[in-house]
Amino acid sequence: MGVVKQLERVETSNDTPKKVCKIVNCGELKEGEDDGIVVKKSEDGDSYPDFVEDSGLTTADELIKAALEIKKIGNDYFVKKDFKSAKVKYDKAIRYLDSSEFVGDDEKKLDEQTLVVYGNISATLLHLGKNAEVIEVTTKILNSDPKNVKALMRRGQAYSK
Amino acid sequence: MKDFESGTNDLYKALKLDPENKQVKISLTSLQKERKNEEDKEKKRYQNMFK
Repeated sequence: MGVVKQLERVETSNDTPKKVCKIVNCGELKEGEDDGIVVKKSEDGDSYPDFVEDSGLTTADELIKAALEIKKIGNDYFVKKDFKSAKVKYDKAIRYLDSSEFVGDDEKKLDEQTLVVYGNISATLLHLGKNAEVIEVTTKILNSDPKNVKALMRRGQAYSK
Repeated sequence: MKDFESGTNDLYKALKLDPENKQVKISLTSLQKERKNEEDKEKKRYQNMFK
């Protein structure tokens, strides 16, 4: 199910997805057959399933706690300059912070954390040289937090690269 | 596509919010350097065109 939800969330313009969504294999799984989605319990200490729907977590506080742990593992990769793996973790943390099912304080708390993780993502993208994406993410941050110095700085750097 | 105008704008805004921020200052300096480089290249290109 998580896959379907993730596909659902791919941003679109004019009903066309902005990223490539391709079915490379389909059919019925035999009993016990690996679906190729569930990543083996990773050695980096991340024990959370890739898709938040499979985590069983429901309250905003639980989700934030999980997201913070996932983000921390991303930070560990970042420090080791493994920016690709860091980005994977940050993207996962963003999935855990999805506030669309929440309202009020819960929604606010989740959105606040989302902005923090977007900050990390923009730093990672800058290191990966993906400047167009840096501009996209920092613009998102600045729409909610126009005085975010780091976001301004990163966008400024991305514009001139 | 480089957009020095927008880049400079963002960095000046950042500097205004946090005037002591060294990273912002460094970014601004390197942007200005890069900009000058590009402009010099551009100049040369046109000079060659009209030789």
